[in-house]
Formats: sequence, C-alpha cells, structure tokens
Amino acid sequence: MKGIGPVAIALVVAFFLVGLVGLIGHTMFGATVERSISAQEIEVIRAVNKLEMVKIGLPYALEYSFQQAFYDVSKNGGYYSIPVDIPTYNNLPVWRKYDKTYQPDYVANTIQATLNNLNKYVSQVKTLNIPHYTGVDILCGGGILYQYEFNPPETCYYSRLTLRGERIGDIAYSDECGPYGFCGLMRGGCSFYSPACFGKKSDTVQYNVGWCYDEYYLSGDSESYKVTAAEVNNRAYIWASGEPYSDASWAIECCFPGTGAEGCNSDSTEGQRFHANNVFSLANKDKIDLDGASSEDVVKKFNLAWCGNKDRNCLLCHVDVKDASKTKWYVCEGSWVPEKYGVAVVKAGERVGSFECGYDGQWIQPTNVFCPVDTVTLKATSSGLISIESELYKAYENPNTSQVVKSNLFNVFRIARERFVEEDTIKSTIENVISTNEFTCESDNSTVRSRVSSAITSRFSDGNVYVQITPVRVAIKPDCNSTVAVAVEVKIKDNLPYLVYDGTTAYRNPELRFYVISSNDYSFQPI
Amino acid sequence: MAMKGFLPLTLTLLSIIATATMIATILLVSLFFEYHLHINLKFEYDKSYSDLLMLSFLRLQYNSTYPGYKVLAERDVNGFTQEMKDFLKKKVELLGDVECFRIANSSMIIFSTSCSSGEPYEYTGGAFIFKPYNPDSLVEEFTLTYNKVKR
Repeated sequence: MKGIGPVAIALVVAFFLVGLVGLIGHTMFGATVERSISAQEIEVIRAVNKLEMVKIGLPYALEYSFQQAFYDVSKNGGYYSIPVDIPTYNNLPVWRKYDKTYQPDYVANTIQATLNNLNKYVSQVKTLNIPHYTGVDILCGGGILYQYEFNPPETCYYSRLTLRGERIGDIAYSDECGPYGFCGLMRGGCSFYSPACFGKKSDTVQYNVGWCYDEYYLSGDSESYKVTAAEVNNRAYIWASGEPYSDASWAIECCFPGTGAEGCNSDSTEGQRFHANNVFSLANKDKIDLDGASSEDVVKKFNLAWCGNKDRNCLLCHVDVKDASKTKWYVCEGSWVPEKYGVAVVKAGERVGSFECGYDGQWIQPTNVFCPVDTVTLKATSSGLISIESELYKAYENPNTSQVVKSNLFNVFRIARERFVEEDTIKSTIENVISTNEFTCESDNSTVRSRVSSAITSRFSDGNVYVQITPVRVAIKPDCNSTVAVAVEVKIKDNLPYLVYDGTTAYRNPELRFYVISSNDYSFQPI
Repeated sequence: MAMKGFLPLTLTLLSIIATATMIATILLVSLFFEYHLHINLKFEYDKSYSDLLMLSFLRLQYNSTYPGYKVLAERDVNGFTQEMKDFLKKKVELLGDVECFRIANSSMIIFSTSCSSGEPYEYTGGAFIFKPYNPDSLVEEFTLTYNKVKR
C-alpha cells in the first residue's frame, strides 16, 4: 500500500490533466476554427466592399474622363494633339483650305482621350488592381427608358404611305371594325377593295394582307409579316419589309390629326429613317416603353425584325429613294446573310458610306452619327479583371462600365462637318455677297472687304449648340476686287456645362475651334 | 526509513507542479493570442461594417439628378451646402445607428457632428472616390469615424 500512494496520485492527476488539456484543446481548436472562418468571412466582406467601392465609382470616373476629353479635344480643333502635317492658322487646325478638307476624326479622338484619362484614374487606385481599359465607346442616346409601343392615332387624316420615297397613299387607323370586319391599321385603298386586310393592335403589328393590290400594301400575298412600330414626337412610324419589294424599305409615317395638310414632313429622302441601325436615333427621341424596355431593347427588336438576329447590327441599309434599284442591304461578312433581293456582302475592313464592316461581322458605328438627343452613353471595356487578393481570399470583378451623360458631342461634330466639310458655307456666302452686290473687278476694295466680312460674321444656335463664325483675314485679289479669300475662325460651343480642368477644375463649355480658309474662286489661294 | 517514502512523493508533486505550470503557460499564451485574434477580428468586422456604411451612402441619391457620390466628389466645385450636410448627417445616422461622426480626408475634416461626450472614436471605416478631373488628384480617400447610439 505504501508504494501505491504516490503512483496512484500521479496517475489520477495525470488523467485529470490529460482530460483538462483535451477539453481545453478541443474548445480552443473549435474556437480557432470559428475564428478562422470569421477571418475568412471578414476577408470576403473586405474584398467585396473594395470591389463595390470601385464599381460604384468607375461610371463617375468614366464621366469625368469624357468631359475632360471632350473639352481638350475641342480646344485643339478636334485633335488630341494637332498633327504636324495638318495646316494650321493662329495655332489652330484648318479644317478646310480651299478645295481640300482636313476633317479630324473628332469623335474617335475624343474616345481616345477619354480612354487615356480613364486609365489615369484607375492607375491612381492603390487598394486593388484595376486593369487598364482597352476600349471606350460613345453612343448616341441612352439613359432614358424608351416607350416602344404602337400608339395608334385616332384617325390618321394626314398620314402617308411611302414607297421608295414617294407618297403612294394614306393610311388610317380605327379601333372600330369596319363593315367588312377589318380593324386596326388600314391603307385606304385596301379597305375598299380587300376585306382580307386587317391589322392587329400590338407593339408589333401583325399584318395579314390578302388580295390587295400589293404595290399598296406593307406585305405580300397571304403571308404574315411582322411590322415594327414606334411612336416618336407625336408621329407613329411603322416599318415593314418583305414581298413584294424586298429590296425596298417600307415605312409608314402616320400623323396625328391636325399636323397639317402635308402630313408628316418625313425626311425620308435621306433614307436615314429606314436604316435599321438608325432606329436608335428615332426611338431615342423621347419615348418610353410601356414595359420599361430600354433603348437597347428597341434596337434589338429592330435588329430582330430586320436581320433575324437581335444581337447583331448585321444589316446596313442604303436607301436610294430616287432610284429604288440602287437601294441595297449591306451585310457585314461573317454575319447571317438574309435571303433578300439587293443584299450585298461587305468584307471586313471595308466601308459602306461611313460605316465600317468590323472583323466580328458587326458594323462599326460611324463617328458622324446623327444624334437627335443631347444624351450619350459611354462604355468602357477591358480585357482584364479587377482583382483583390489576400492570404485568405481572392476576388475578381468585371471592370466593364458605362455611364449616361448629357452631351452634344455628336451635334457639335455634325454641324462642323455639314457646314464646313461636306459643304463650303463660306464660299457660298462670298459668292452670294459678290453676286448680290454685283461686285466686279472694278469695285471698291474696302467696300468689298467690309461687305464680305459682315456677311460671313454670324452667330446662330442649334439646340444647345452655339456657332460663331468670325472672319479673321480677308484677302482681295489684286486688280480684281470681286475675288476674295478669307480665313475664318469657327467656334462651336456646347452650352451644356462640363466639369473640366484647365488650371482649376470648374464647369466649362467645350468649344470646338478651328479655321476655314476659302475663296469664291479656289484658284485664288493667297492665305 | 521515513526518507524513503518522501522522495517519490516529492518527485511526483514536483512533476505535477511542473506539468501544471507548463500547461498553464501554454494555455495563457494561447488565450493571449486568442484574445488578440478576437480583438483583431472585431476590429476588422467593425471596419468592414463602417466601410459598408460609407458604401451605402455613396449609393444614395441626393436628389433625382444628383447622387450622393457627387455630393462628396464635386464639393470643391459645387460647394458643400448646409442642405447637403444635413442630407449626409441624416443618412449616415439613419444607416448606421450613429450618434455622431466625422468624415475626413488625409488633410482635413470634411464634416463632423457633435457627440454627447467628446469626439467620435469608436468605429472607423474608409472609402475612396473618383474626383472630377484634375491630373494631380483623381482619387480621394476618406475615413469615417463614428460612435454608435448607446442603448
């Protein structure tokens, strides 16, 4: 018994201690696992917070980048930096020098400058890795939800049906079914001669035209065609394609009552309205979808209607309203080719008008797009991923971002292009002054100079865009005072305010400044 | 004879004491680390929560055309009116059950509210925002320090 005492005590204590260690160890191990999970969770939350912070901010970074780019490029006459091979006058680029034009790719330069600015923003973020952006796009419109519905006019008194640019009759809409049981949209003649003509009120108007004289109707014999309709500025537009004139673009412009005897003054001669890609401009104007469809949806619907594929701007329609045989649908190589008369396949890299066929089969938006609204959508893309890494967690996020901003970028460019590149407004003005005043070579030099100067000096506005034309130098041909050359400073200002830096950050108006040098006789080139 | 019985007992007791001391030391050290880990986790959790509070604010709309983000980003240009401050105060207090807070950047206090006792110190969060273009300063970092309402 004597020898058992200490051993027994030691064993009991040892067991107790082992049990205690086990219990504490188990508790601590459990707690450690929980702590580890908590630590990971916190890492996740922290990473998500940082990613969210960037995602919230990137659209604003894009907006500020664009505003600065628009300002800087405009100040440089449409260039990010003026190339050395471009003629300049008073340190500004010359867009026209007599018969030669030097139009900068103004929108593309703004896009490039926006991209550069945006990359400056992301390179200043230190808390996580944002890849450099590789692409920026500026699209007309956006930001508003567009109504994409067919809103039938009560009675279409002055509406007209257009085929190949010619008015071929009126159309009418009635909710009440006529004596022959047809309702909805009707072409006047059809309603008289064909009981089978009827329409269906919907956002997509389904037509089923029977024995009508096909040259009058939207669709061919006994077939159903989907007709797309939209309402813009109190005008209802219905687009249709198909037999019997698959090569022709069909459009109905349907006015509300009281819009005048001439009906809707369609500018269809431009062919723009029939342009599948241009539905964007149309739909963009101000209408909102009942179902909250976005402008993107409108374009998709339209692409679907025209191209059979909602995801592709595959068709580019060139409508020649004066000669229907010249009307063509151009399909970018790599896209689905519809079986339509007049379809031409265009190779990647080639242009049709100002559209370029991209290597992905998509048409690349021209920079001289007509944009009827003062809103643009900015989109920035990158091939990389935003990443945040810690010991316990890695997180990645798509950096692509977009923002809608108020801007007249496209309109500023359009005015500049239309007046000083596509046309020589200055030359026309000089010619007009010379002929109106009956100036001859014997005319008084100072009078000619003064009249030409005051005729050229002008200011006008187009929406929020202000144009100022100022002659800076007037040169008179020796011995012939009726031949004049001028150097004109053009300023086209967007009156919308932009937050830009020019020594200090403040609200400023981008002003596109450049020179035009012209003469009533291009052979006289003294400037 | 009596010495013979004492030696094993003493050795046993000594080994027990030594073992107990070792275990106690290990436990204390472990508990010390656990405590620190706990404190750190709490701090990180509180910080993440505070960051989230800033994020929530940045997502808010000041009015139909002006987001909360721009209230902070464009304050040097558009000013930081009392109305904007009231908006900020109301939203932060509401979102985080905050008694008082202070928003500061690296060089100055942008906005602060008064506490019933002293300065805000309990919780800290941060955020960064993109500022209107200025080549010298495109990104601004903020810290939000606040005290919660005592209940």
